[in-house]
Amino acid sequence: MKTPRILSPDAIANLMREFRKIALHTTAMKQIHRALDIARAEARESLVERKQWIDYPPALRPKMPPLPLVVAFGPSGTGKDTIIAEYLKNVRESEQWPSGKQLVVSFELSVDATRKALHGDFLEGTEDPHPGVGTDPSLSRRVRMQAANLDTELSICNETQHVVGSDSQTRNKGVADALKKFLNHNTSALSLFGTNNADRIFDANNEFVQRSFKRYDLIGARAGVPEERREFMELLQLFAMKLPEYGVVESAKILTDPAIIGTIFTQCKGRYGTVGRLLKNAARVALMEGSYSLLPYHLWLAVSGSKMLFEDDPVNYFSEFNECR
Amino acid sequence: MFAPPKLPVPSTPFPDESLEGFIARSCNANGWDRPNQVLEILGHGKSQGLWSNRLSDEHAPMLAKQFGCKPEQLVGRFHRPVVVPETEVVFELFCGSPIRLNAREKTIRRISPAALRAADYHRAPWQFQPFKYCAETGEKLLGACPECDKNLGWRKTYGVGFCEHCVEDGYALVDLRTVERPRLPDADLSVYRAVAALLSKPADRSDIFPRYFQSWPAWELLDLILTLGVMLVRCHDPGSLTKRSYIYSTFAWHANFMAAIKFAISWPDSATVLVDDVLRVRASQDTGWSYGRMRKLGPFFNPEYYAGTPRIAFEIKSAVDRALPLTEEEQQRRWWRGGFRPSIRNGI
Repeated sequence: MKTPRILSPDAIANLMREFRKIALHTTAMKQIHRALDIARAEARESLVERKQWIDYPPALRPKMPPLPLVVAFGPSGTGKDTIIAEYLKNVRESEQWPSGKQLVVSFELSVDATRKALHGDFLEGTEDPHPGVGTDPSLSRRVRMQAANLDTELSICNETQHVVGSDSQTRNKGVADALKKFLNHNTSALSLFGTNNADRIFDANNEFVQRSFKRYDLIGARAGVPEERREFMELLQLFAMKLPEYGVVESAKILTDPAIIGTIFTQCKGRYGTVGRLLKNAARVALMEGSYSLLPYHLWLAVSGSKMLFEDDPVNYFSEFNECR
Repeated sequence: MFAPPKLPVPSTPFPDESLEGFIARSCNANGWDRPNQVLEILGHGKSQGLWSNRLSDEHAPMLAKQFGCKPEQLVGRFHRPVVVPETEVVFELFCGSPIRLNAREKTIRRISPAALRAADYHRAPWQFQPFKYCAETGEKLLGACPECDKNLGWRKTYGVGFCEHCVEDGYALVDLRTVERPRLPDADLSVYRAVAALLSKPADRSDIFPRYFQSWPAWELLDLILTLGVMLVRCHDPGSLTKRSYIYSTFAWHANFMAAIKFAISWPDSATVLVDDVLRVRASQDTGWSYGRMRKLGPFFNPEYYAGTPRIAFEIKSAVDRALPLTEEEQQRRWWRGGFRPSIRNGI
């Protein structure tokens, strides 16, 4: 029997970072990435005209067709963050932006966001020295000027559900209107990511929903759809292969066991993001225990220790493995 | 390590762009309309007066990082005092050449719409008060909005080519680049350009200036022309203030400046014509309390009062003396006065 390996907290944290490298390019992810690329191409076409008229008030500019909107909503754990992270990673790896340009701006909407907060969040994405300073019109102008001068083609707004966190319908309307103007005034193409609650932003402005060029409802893998089941298994196989490769654990063979796959599927409701989080927690437990292999027992402990992940169904489906050490 | 805040959209200054113009253009590219506020956010403190006054050569490395250019692109653009030997007149560096301290237009943003249509940036020579026209396009410089008639300034800008007073919802409504301005006649434009080049390209001096001035630096030749222009204005209007910034803003300035250029082009032979003109003008004027040679010559009696350097004063004085020789009585009087009247007001 091997001596348990003892790792410092820093060493464990370093190994946990390897999880960022593991992502399965699912069909939904590929489709969304393609839609984002199309939206960018359309924004790129209007860029020259956009820059030419940027100094003029909207009423004096020639009317240009609105830029596209890509929407991807789905419950927590369906892989929205991974889709964004993978897209940005691909963009960074495959494109060489001119110096001083930011073709894709990614930002997270603040909780209880107002129109002003939306502009401030975008400016945080462009690393403006003081995103909060300014009145509504001046912030809106700053967003437009920076987007045009940074040649921004696409703005990715994550956590869109934060806009409907408040009770005020007026506020929702304000933000929906600001987002609509974002597209109508050709600031950049827009992509909204958020939980299903974010859908209510479209109730606030009927015209805004018409700008939507592609909409994706992310739900994860469904048991009744063989392709999605296969994709789910591929994800676990990927983890089984990559975790030893990156030196996180020496073996993660359990992830190819049909019984474990089924239990993970039930536990995570087929959501890819939740699977990643569960396995990360399980690997952390394994490393803290000094284990060389990922065991079902670690999965049980991980679920027990992170109930927040499964608050809609708090049952621990790995209970039968609690003694399998 | 602490990284200083910087603007997201980097900008690079054009070779002949003014510092104020560059900062205002860069702020506008980032959507900021108050350069003062941006400089405060970027850690350059705040001031009540002109924001450009707080910047100097030592700020160049930091400013370059924050605005996205190289420090050497900024260094020559700061206006710092410079000591010119043998004179009490205060000079400052402007485009690398010494100019009188009050010759730079600090508060009003003057532009040439046609030049902005060609390239949208503020040229440094537009800040030089004696220049009323753009040497590039020959267009009269615009310092006020034609719609609201308010002066254009540097405190708030929506790009150099827009009026900051005619604004709605954060957007400037008046595009000054579309304004048509009167232009210099072609004959005047070529000499005007040659004089402007003394400031902006001192190394490439035009052939129209006589070889007589070959040993003179370009800035001193320019100061001679300006001195002649100021003296001509004072000669035609003895009641006017003597402050240069006032004289440059008078209606008569440009015509006298052009006359001074023409005298300088054929100097020293033109001194005779100059003196004849002065005598004719002075003969028709109420010359007040003055008498003798001062009555005849007016400001040309004591050029050291107007000249920036002793060489300029000596040059004008000796040319005038050659054109209008001193009488015996005048020679005695000059000997008695020591032939020199010290300047009591620096910079005038």
